[in-house]
Amino acid sequence: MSVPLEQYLVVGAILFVLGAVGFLTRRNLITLFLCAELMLQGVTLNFVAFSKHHGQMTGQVFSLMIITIAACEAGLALALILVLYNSRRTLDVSVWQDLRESGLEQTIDTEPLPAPADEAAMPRLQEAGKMPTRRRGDSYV
Amino acid sequence: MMLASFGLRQAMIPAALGLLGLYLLLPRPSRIPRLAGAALGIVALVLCGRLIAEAAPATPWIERILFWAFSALAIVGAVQLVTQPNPARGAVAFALVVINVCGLFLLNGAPFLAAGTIIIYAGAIVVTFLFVIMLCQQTGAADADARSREPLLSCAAGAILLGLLLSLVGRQYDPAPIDELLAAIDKSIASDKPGFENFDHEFRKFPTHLPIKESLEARSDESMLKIKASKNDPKVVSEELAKFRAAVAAGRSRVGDIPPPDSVPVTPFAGSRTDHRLPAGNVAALGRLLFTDYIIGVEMAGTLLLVATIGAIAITYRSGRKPA
Repeated sequence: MSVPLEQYLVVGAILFVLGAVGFLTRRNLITLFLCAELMLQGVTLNFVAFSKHHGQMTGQVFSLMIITIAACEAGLALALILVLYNSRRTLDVSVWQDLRESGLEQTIDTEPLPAPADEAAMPRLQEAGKMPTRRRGDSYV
Repeated sequence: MMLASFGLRQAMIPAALGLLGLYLLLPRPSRIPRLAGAALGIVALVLCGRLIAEAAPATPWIERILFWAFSALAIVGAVQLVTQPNPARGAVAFALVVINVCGLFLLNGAPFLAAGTIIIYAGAIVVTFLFVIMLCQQTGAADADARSREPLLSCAAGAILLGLLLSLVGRQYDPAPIDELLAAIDKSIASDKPGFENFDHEFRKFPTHLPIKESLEARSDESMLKIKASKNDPKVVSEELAKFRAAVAAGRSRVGDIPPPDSVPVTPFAGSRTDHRLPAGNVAALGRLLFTDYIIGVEMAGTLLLVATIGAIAITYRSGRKPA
């Protein structure tokens, strides 16, 4: 006896759903393609688990084909990402909203981002020839 | 302990909790404490584990430990990939997922696939992704990485999809009816008047969506004929009961299977249909299968790789650009 098939199926389903949610909601082109690869991983796991369960190698052949297609897809996707980046200088998919069906309203980010973390946390040397002044939060590393 | 049978309602609880945790973890301008989302996700994982935890009698404990460790790490890596604002860290988290999924491949008797996946995914694809991130995002985290699009809606969709998938697995691979039937047969054998009619009721309410029912019905009809021919000889009855019980017990580990029809050929290269064991020598068997049954697929995959290479070059090639 070994770990039953259904437990592998559940792990594959969880990986697939996480990849799908990531693909729907993330906005970086590269993260999108990584999420697509995550979905493929979930499906491949199902094929391999079925292959073991039925005692036939066919599932492993299917997984090998999936890996081949994924490699092709990654190469083409990265080429496309480079072209898209070169034309708009950003990896955000939202700049390609004009490719949508006509008549849909544009999505615009309204909520402002929080200010970036304070740069003063980095240690700095004191200016030469002056009396060091101590301020709160200064680092003397 | 048997696999707890569960339906849609039980499956929806961990799915909804987990996706709610993911919703809290997704990047957004006003961050919610990550700890809350992580705690919800862990609770959901534990609930899901309880749902499917079946201690199959003779599973070696090392295999169980490896299975749970690889699965948990793979899922944690996947959550990290989906919720990480920094795409470079996301790529490294994806490498973690790939390595753990390869561990699960090894547990499933696929060492060649495990090695191939690590080499191709973790070795080539992730490195190429990191290379592109290096080319495209030299200024650090971008504005879009700190935002998500419609996180609530997509998490709700994910929860519904996951709940449906889980409940489907719980329904299809639920051994409860076959265990009931086994218990009734055992009771009939132990009673002073053994016979097939004692568990007729249990057999009749055995769900028809389990494909095993047909073969069990054929088996039972054959036994009935033999018993009738021997004019209810108690020795024949107990023999046939033992045979029927063995058939049911053998079906216990294959509950939920949909056996391929006999008209679908299985060549000896793929393995046999009866003993449910993978052929010995994974690489040799896989190679033999690839270059006999699937030779056309292999040739087409090779051609596709070539076409994709040429396509990638054609997409990125810009004529008229002076070399720097």
